[in-house]
Amino acid sequence: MKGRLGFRTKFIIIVIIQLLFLAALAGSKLFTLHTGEVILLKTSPIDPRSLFSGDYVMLNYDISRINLKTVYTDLDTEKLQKDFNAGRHILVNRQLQKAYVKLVKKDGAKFWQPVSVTSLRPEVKKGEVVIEGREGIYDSWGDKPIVRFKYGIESYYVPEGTGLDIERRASNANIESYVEVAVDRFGNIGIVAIFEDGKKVSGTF
Amino acid sequence: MGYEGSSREGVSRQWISWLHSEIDLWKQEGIISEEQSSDILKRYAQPEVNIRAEDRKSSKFIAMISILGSILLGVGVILFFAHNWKFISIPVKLGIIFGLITATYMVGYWMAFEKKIYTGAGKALIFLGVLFFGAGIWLIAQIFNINAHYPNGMLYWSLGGLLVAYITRLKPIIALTIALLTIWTVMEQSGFYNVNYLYLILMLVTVIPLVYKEKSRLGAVLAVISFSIWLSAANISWQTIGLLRPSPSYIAGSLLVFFIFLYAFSKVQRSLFNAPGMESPLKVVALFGIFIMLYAMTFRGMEDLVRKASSISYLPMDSIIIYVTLIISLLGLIGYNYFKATPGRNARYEEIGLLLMVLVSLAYMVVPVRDESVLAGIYPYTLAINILFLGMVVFVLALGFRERKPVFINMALIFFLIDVVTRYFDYLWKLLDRSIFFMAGGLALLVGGIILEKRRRKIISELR
Repeated sequence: MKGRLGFRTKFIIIVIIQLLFLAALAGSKLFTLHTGEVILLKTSPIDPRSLFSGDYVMLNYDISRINLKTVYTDLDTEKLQKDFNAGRHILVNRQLQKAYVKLVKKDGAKFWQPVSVTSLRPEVKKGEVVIEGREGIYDSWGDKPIVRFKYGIESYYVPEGTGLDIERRASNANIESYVEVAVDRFGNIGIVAIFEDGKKVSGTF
Repeated sequence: MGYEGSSREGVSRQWISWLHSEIDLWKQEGIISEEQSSDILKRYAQPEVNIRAEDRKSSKFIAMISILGSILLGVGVILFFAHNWKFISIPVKLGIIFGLITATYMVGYWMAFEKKIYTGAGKALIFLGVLFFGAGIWLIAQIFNINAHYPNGMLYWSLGGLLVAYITRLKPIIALTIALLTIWTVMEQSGFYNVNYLYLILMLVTVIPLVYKEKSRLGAVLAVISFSIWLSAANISWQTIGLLRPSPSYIAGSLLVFFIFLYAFSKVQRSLFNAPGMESPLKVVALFGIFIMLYAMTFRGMEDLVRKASSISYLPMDSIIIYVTLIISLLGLIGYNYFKATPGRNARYEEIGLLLMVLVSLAYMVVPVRDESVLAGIYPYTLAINILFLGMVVFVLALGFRERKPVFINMALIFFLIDVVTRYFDYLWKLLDRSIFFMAGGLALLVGGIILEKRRRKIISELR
C-alpha cells in the first residue's frame, strides 16, 4: 500500500514539474514583456508557412545585419576576414555563435541602432539595451565585414491566412514597417507588437 | 516425456475447446477409450499457458490500438486549437493547455493504476499526456513568439517524456522518449555545427539503463537506430568542424565498427546485465547493420571516396577520443568473449572473424591506398570487403543453424541475393550484349531463386 501511495505521489510530482516548467516558460516571457524597456526596431518581413502553427511571418531587422566597421567590437575582424577569405567559413561562424549587441536610440532617431558587438557582456547605461546575437554568420561584402545575427525575435505568429498580406504590404517601399520589442534587464527579448505606418497590425496581447 | 515437444506450442484456445468437443464425440462413437481420451487431453493439458500467451498478444494489440488512438486524438486536438488559436485570449489559451495536460495525466493514471479498469486505455492516456506536454511547449512558444534556438523545445519535450517513462516504466513512453531525443539531436546536429554530447550522456546515463531495467526489446532496437543516427550526424559534424568535406566512407566505416561493437556487446550483456532476452534483438539489428555497411563498402566507388577523403588526422580531438574508446572497448569485448564467455572452437572462430572485420574496416579508413600509379585498376580493400561480405553470409547462415533462428538464415540469404544481383550488374553490364545480359540474368535469377527458396524452406522447416 505504501509503495502504491509512493508511486501516486511521484506521478503527481512529475505532472507538477511539467506544469511548472510550462508556467516558467510563459512567465519568463511575460516578465520580459511587462518589465522590459520598450524599443522600436525597423523591419522588413518575409513569409514562409509553418504546418503546425498556422501562419507566421519571418521578420528581418535592420539590426540583423551588422557591419562590424560601423560599431565598436572586441572581435578580431582581421583574423575573421583572413579565415573567411581562406574558405574556413565554419571556423569563422563557430566564433560567432554568441555575441552581445548593444543598442541605443540616437537623438531624434525613431529606431534603435547597434553601437557595439562584443564577446563579453558590456555594461549597460541608461538609454542603452544589450541583447544576445546568436548563430552569427559572417558575410563579407567587398570591404564590409558584415555579420548576420539572430535574436530570437525572427518569427511572429499571425492569424491563419494574414501572413501573406503583411508580407505584401511590407514589400511596398512606401509603407514603414517596424516592431515594438521589450528587452528586460537580463537581456531577454520579446515581441510586443508589429506596426505599419504607425498603425498596430498585430500584438502579442 | 512423451508430452514434450512442439505439439502444444502455438495452439489456440479455440482449437483446444474444439478438441475437447471432438474427443467427447469420439468417445461417444467408441473410436477411442476413456483412457485414450484422457491421454490425448493430458497431452494438451496446459492450455492456460497458450491462453495466457494469446491474452498477452491481444492485450498488446489493444495497447497498440489505444496508443494509435491517443496519437490521433492528440493531433486532432492540437490542430483544432491551432486553427482557432488567435481568436482565443491568452489566459484561456493557457487554461486550455494546463487543463488538458492535467486532466489527461490524471484520468490516465486513475484508469491505469488506481482503478485498474481499462488499463490499456489509461496507459494510452498517459502517453497522450506526454504528447500534450510537447504541444504545450510549442503552443506557449507560439503565444509569446519564443523562437530562440528551436531544438530546445524538442529537448524539453524529451526530458518531460523521460520523467514520465522513469516513473511509470511504460514501454511505449520509453519508445516515445527515444524517438523525441532522436528528433532533437537531428535538429541540433543538422543546423548548428554541434556534435551534441548531451544526447550521448542522456542516452547512456538515463535511457539505456531504463531500457535494460524494463527489458524493453523495442526500446533497445530504437535506441540502436537512434544512436546510429547520432553517430552519422556526429561524423558529418566532426568532418565539417575539421574543415573536411564530409565523406560517406567515414560514416560507413564508423557505423560498421559500432555495429560490430553491438554484436560483441549482445553476447556480453547476457551475463553482465543478466538480460538474455535482449541478446536476440540486439544481435539482429547488429547483423543487419553490419550487412548494410559492408554492402555499402563492397563498391569500388567507396574506395575511391576513401582515397580522395582527407586524412583522418584532420578530425577534431573529441572524435578521435570517441573512436579510440569505441575500438578499445570493442577489442576488450572480443577478448572477453574469446577467453571467457564462449568456450568451444566455433565461438572462437567467430571472435577471430570479428577481429578481422574490425581490422579491415579500420585499415580501410586510416590507411587508404593513395598512390594511383601503383594500383591502377586494383582495389585491395574492395576485394577484401567483398570476401568479408561473403564470409558474413556463411557465418550468419551458420549462426542461424547454431541458434536455431530462421531470422538469421533469411537475412543471410537475402543479402546474398542482393550481393549477387549487384555484382552481376557491376561486372557483366559492360561485357555482355544488353539483351543477353538481361536474358541470362533473368534466367539465372529465376532458377537460382527457386533453388534458394526451396533450400530456405527446407532449412527453416528442419529448424522448426
